[in-house]
Amino acid sequence: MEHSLELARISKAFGKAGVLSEIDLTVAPGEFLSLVGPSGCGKSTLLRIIAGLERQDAGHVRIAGRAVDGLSPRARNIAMVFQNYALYPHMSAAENIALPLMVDRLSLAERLPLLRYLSPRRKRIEAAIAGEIGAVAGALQIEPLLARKPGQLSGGQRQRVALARAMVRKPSLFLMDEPLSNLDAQLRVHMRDELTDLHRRLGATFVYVTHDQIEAMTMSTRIAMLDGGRLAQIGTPTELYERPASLIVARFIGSPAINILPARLDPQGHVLLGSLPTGLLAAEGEAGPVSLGLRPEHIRLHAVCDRAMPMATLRRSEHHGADRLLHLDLVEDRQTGLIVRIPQDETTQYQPGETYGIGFAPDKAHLFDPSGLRMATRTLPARIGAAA
Amino acid sequence: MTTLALAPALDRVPRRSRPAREWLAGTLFVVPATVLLLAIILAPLLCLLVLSLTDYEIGALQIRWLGLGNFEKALSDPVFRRAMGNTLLYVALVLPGGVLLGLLVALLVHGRTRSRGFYEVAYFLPVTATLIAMAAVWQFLLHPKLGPINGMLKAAGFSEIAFLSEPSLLIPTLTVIGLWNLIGFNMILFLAGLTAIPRDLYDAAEIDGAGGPIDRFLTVTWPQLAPTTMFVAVTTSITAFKVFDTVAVLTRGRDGSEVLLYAIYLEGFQYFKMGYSAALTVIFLGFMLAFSVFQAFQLDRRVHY
Repeated sequence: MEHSLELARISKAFGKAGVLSEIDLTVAPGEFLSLVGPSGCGKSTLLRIIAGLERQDAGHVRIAGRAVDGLSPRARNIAMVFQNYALYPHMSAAENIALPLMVDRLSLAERLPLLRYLSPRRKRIEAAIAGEIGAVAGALQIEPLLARKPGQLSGGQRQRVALARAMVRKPSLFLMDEPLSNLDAQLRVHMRDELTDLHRRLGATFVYVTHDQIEAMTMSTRIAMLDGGRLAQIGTPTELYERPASLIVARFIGSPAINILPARLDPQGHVLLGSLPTGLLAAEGEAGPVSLGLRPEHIRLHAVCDRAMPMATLRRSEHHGADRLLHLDLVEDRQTGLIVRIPQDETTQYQPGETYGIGFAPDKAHLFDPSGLRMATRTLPARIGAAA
Repeated sequence: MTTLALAPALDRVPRRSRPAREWLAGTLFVVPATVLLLAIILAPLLCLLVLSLTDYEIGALQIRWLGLGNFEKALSDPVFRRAMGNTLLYVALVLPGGVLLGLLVALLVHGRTRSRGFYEVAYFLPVTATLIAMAAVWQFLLHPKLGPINGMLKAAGFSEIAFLSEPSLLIPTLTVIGLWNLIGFNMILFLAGLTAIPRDLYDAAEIDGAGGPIDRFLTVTWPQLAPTTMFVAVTTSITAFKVFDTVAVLTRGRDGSEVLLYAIYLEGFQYFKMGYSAALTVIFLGFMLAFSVFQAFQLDRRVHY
């Protein structure tokens, strides 16, 4: 089957500042691909290049199997939803939604003020368009809003009108540039749900830009993370969470963020935390400093003072509903903080100011070399200083 | 209960009720603005109205009440009627010309990147130049024998045109000079409006297929500039109504080229007929007021969304 979107070695620079370098990416039909990354990583620029609003310096874009490099956004048969909705404020919601179809089906003269009344077929076409607007509005439940202007709509309603404008052309590709970031927290969660639902109903391909990893994790079928204009990793949300390819991905995905502990590799490949073995063995790599990544839910605290464990002091405990987040400081290295996620019913046993032993299952740990890339690991058959 | 009964006795001076105190405070807050408004605008206006009903002349020892006599005289005065007609013609030419040319220049200048600063300054220069001084330059430029404009016309095979003496050309010539003086200012206002248009809207238009220049202008630029256009239209028409300098310097109202303000100036400060002049001023103000109110209401309904 043809890919919905194919990017080949896309590069872009603004002046001397390189924004994107050699991005390769393919998106299958029906996928919901999120482009994530910190601000300035080039994700919006990449989306604009796909849309045709920006020209790449090198590389090729193919949409639905067709090379679109020289084509205008309109000819690419895509739709885009913007962060600020970008609705035309002087037009009603219905007129906003109708615009792409009007431009498609009526000539320029037939759309000009006054002149358009001369066209014999205009009325017929406009009636057909009105029917299609009704169908789209019905799908998004915005029929009562059609006569209103954007200024009279709330943020969530505007977002729906913008979605309707995107849907009405039945594009082969939906592009969304942080469409939820202007909504309040509650509405954002709700719209997340609606977008996922819409994606499923339409069966269309979505490319969704966001800086919010939760949006990416909850909605996408795949996530492409960009960092400094390069593709840091692409994979399913589970892959990015469970096997981050680099420190940057590990830190970006997951909330609260992953704990990164400074560790050391001994000449035999054992990973040492301070002077204590962790039960983790690097498959390759030289002796020296490495980083050990531990998700907050993978750390266990032990009240028993076992000297074979790294120790940490509980500084603060935060209520998060079903869970509680414990903030600890390593005893040996006060600079390094730790966050541990504990189910609410286990929390009474932990008291601020007390010191606990840190334990974790070695197979849940992530190891990164000094340049930040993931290192392959093995676990020692006999676990030392660790308990799950 | 006892404390309640004692309270009035302790408090001899009855305190003002809350609404009364609020009313007093509110009044005090309003006083400065009211005094200024009265002293600066309403009192002079009232003086003008009273004067316009008299035959007051500068230096006169007596003053006579005429009622509406001055206004009756004005309406039958051929000079005033001509001045009125000329002014309306001038406004009718300068208003659309000034708005459309200002918009056109702003669109062109906005499209420049590096040379934008130069064009902004170039077009704005006439605004900063005093029209009286520049009128001398225009007089030379338009001179039938010496002026370069007629020189060019002749070189192109046309006969020479007496821009400043042919009566039917006087108002059009003044219009061109007025536009030259005005366009830079309107351009700056339109540029400010253009800069404020969100980029997203142009992107959306591009995606929707309305990316061509005409579609872009009709879908995004023009509607987004509507509030600016209304402001420009109001200021331009007021400026046009007040045309005076070019008439005073270049034509002196000869050959039927009087305009309202020049007529007022002549009556009041050349012939010293202050009462009559005041009546003409009242008519002038009435026109300005009606025009501004009409524009504000008419356009306001369409530019805000």
